[in-house]
Amino acid sequence: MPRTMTGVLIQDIMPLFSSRIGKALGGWMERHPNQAETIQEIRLRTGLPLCIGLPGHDHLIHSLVVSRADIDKTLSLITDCSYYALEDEFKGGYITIPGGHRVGLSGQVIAHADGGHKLRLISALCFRIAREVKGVAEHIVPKLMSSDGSIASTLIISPPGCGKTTFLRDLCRILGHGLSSCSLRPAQVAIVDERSEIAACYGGVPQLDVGPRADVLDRCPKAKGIGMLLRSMNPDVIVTDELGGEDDARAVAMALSGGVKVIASCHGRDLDDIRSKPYSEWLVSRGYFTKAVVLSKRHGPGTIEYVGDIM
Amino acid sequence: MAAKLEKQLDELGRFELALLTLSNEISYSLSSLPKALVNAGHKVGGDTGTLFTLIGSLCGLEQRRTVEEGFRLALEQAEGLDLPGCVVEIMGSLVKNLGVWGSKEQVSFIDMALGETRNYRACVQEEYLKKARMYRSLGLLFALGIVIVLL
Repeated sequence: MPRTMTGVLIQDIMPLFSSRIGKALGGWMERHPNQAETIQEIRLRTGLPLCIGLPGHDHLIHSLVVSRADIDKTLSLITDCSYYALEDEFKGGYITIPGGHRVGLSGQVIAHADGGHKLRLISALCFRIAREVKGVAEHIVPKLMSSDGSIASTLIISPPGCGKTTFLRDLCRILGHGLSSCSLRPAQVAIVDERSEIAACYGGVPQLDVGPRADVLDRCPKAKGIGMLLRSMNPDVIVTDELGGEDDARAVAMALSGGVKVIASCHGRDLDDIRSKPYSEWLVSRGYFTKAVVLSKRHGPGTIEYVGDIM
Repeated sequence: MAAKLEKQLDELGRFELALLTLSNEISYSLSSLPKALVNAGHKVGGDTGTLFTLIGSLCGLEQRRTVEEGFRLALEQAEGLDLPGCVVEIMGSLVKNLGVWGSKEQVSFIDMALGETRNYRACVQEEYLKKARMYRSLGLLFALGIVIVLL
């Protein structure tokens, strides 16, 4: 049974806060039960009021000013009291916690001479609550079938914030289960999740539902990950997020030449926009991708503008 | 008296070993701190081992407690433990810096605690030897006194 947002917050997020923040947040949720169901973010900034992010606006709880001790306690808990073990992940500016929620971090950055950097004295945390929307891709899958009865290599195109990743995640889930309505057999799905957004792994284990046949390479660069999966996991379909550079394009071409289907997302307004970008154009014009889905937020995130062949 | 000092020396030795194990777990295995504390506790045994195991099992994300909170609760739950005062004192200040630093800094803090423990252990060892010498001399004098009385 799906959990309500209030349930998610009470179970996954609130125990990570100091008791005074938990009390203030709990009190606000009790007073605003409808708004509590739409919470997208919770921001803790040292010396500033607690901030609750809602769709389109935010709300500051002025009666509660977040202290350094509040941040330290939360930081200690989200790192499982093991900051040292997550030092490398901290360089990326965020970590994933159980439940698939992401915690963004900011504070003092110490730059090293070798080009590396370290994040210290963390003074602000942003909890982005993970939300699963199942079934969004279900009615689209029949339109993405190729003539051999399997899924076609597909490009998911949209500007940021239009639900590309949610769509990809649902597609992974459907591919893993198969879909009887279009005679799609279950497939071995391999996911290269460079930004931990598709599967939201915690300790290497997906926290969001990506189906029963998914192998995930978490936080792995796409080009490297595609090669590794091809050699090691014998996938039917490789799924990855936000194709960009030359290396990504070459890796995708390599996978497709090897007979593996690829489903990937990339930033763009529409197919013409994709054709104006050198590496996406290269993949599209050579016929590596045969189908496309274009998403927008014209009627809210996930509005489908186009599904079909790439002409 | 000697037995008490012997017990103290034994626990201090265990505490040193536990700190070394903790340092190794952090630097080489990158184990999570609760796990590292439990592993160190199991390895060294004795009352010190019990304290480490308790702290490890009472802190972390699952228990929703920081190491410091875990330590305080462990001391409450482990009233029967016979630990040298310095172990509790050193551990008390170490837990404030455990799990909140990068690997390099973390090992430095453990090294500092290790240095303090070694100094304290050397003092206890010296006192133990001094007391042992004194009791030996007293024993000899007493035996000599008895011989003289008997003669």
